[in-house]
Amino acid sequence: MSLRSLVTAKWLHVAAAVVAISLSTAITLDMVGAHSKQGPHKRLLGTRWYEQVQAGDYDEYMTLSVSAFAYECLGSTSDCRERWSVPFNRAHSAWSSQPTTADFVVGPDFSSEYDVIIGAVPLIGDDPFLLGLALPLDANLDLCIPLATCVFRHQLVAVADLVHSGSYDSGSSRQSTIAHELGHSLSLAHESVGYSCGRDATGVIPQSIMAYDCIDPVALGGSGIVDPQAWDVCGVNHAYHDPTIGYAGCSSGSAPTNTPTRTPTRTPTSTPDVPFIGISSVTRGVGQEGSLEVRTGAWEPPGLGVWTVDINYDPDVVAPMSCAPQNGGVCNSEFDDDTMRITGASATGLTSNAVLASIIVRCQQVGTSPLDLQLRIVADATIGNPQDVATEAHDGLVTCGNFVFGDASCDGFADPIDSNLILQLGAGMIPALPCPGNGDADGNGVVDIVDATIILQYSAGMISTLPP
Amino acid sequence: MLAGILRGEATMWRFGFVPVLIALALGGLACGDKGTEPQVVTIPARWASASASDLTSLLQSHPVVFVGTVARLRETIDVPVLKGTAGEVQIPTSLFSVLVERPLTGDSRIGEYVSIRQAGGPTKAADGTSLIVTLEGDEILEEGQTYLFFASPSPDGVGLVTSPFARLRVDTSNRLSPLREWSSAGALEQLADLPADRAEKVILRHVTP
Repeated sequence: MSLRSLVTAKWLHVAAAVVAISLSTAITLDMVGAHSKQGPHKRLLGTRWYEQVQAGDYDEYMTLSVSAFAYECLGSTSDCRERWSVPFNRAHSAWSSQPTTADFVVGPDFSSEYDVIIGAVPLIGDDPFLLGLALPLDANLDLCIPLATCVFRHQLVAVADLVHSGSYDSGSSRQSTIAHELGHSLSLAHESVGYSCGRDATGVIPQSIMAYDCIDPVALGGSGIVDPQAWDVCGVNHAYHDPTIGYAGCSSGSAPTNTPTRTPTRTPTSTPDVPFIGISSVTRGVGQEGSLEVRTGAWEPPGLGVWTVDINYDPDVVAPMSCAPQNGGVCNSEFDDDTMRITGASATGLTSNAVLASIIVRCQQVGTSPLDLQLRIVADATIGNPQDVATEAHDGLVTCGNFVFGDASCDGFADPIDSNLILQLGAGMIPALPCPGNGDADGNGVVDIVDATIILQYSAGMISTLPP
Repeated sequence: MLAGILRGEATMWRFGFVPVLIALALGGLACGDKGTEPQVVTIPARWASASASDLTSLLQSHPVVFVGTVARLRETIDVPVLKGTAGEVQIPTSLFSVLVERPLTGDSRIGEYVSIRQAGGPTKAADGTSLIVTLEGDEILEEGQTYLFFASPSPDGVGLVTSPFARLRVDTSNRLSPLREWSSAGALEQLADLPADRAEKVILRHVTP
């Protein structure tokens, strides 16, 4: 899945490249073309399967093995099977029948050898309101971290039998929970909460198995949807783009702007100690700037000696503002219309947690932009004989919301007017803010006098970004 | 520290704000360093949240309602998610001690400490890295923070359980704010930004005798 690249450059190429690379726009990249359209944006998680594109498409590599369903309810197994067997079969079949490269094939037994490990338990984490979850795991069945951008080897999907009671006590509710969690396992994120099905804070959006408002039971105000919708298919085809399938499910005007540019070679199972180069993720409002860092991880001595890393992004969603190289490199934030490039060398080698570059990006419009790392050249710092090193690329994500931190007045700016409104709210002089969600300037979930203070600091130029 | 100072300045609202804010702004600059914090990892999940569509339903699913302040995290235990998997994948579950300040409905008393259970919490990754695990749509309870809790008795009888869609922060100005992800759910929208005492009256009007 995703984001791991094996780098095979020879040292001579490395040396030549470091000397010769022009940080203008001279080098042509093999890029998957952008697929951006106007309209709402499908929400994707930053995580991806370890399965990789090979020879241009995923082919059989996204055929995911699924364990036999584990029936671990309280009481008799046969009763548990009666409740969950049909919903499970319908849910994975519904996904497998969609026009995506991902298919689920259920095995004969339950074990942790399968890609997807799935079953019903009485409760998850002893919580009586948690219907299900999807845990991305590494090759050792440990939680895959950093979770926001991890490349996972397994998915553990658990559904809570006892919570499927009352209005959730139906085959369709169970089916929708499994289909929803399998959607998470295919890198789909939640859609709306608290709106009618097909709407969110931005207005009309397509229906989705990932929207609570669509899958909650009709008796509880939902629409009772149980199967993946075209919008979900569109999302999977962006997360795991296969040219032989294209962007099925993405109708004109409703496609996400995510640009899948991952074309690494297939690798075997993931191991937690593989050296990597990764980029962080950030969430900001439209018009705001956010900071990112490109770092090394799991590098042992002699450490990283040479690197050329391209960062592909969606220019419709984000724009690079600056790129400051560190540890002996150079950086060009305008290498191409949708690419930044970092390149550098270290004679003594960089081990884990070394910063290669600090980047500032600006949100251009609502949406998400993958930050896909392409490791063009990587070698270690072995004295006299630098070695190629199998290196993972850990991608990041920029999420751009339609809010402006601190803009309590909804006029598009965070300024002293907003501070005054927040102070008036705190003093009980007004009942509510025009834009309550925007008033939380420090992003801590509470609108209070601290936010008023921070907005004043921002207005006075004492801090450069909100949240600080 | 800044928030603590502000909480103690009840009379400042009566006087000029600007000098105070400038002082606070400058003070904020002087204490801006932060220590290394554990990485927060958020696990995709689905909540049985439909009862948050209106207050009556929320009260039926969460019959114990009170305003309380989180005193401390008593313990966190790792609970297996699905048995039979190699190594038994686990997620943390936290148990908080919460001081009841204003009981509204259900079995709780002023001055009583109750146990609140929450899925998620601090734990260690396999490599020893400190993590805070949260379920999507939730955030871990904050020590010292006051909340309006809609709670439910824990299935095993040990304390109460809170849900992300059934909990609102009481801010320093005594107003309620839900988690951002649930702010459009009907019940929470009805209570958001209300002063806590007014919200209590609204809630009590929806209690089924």
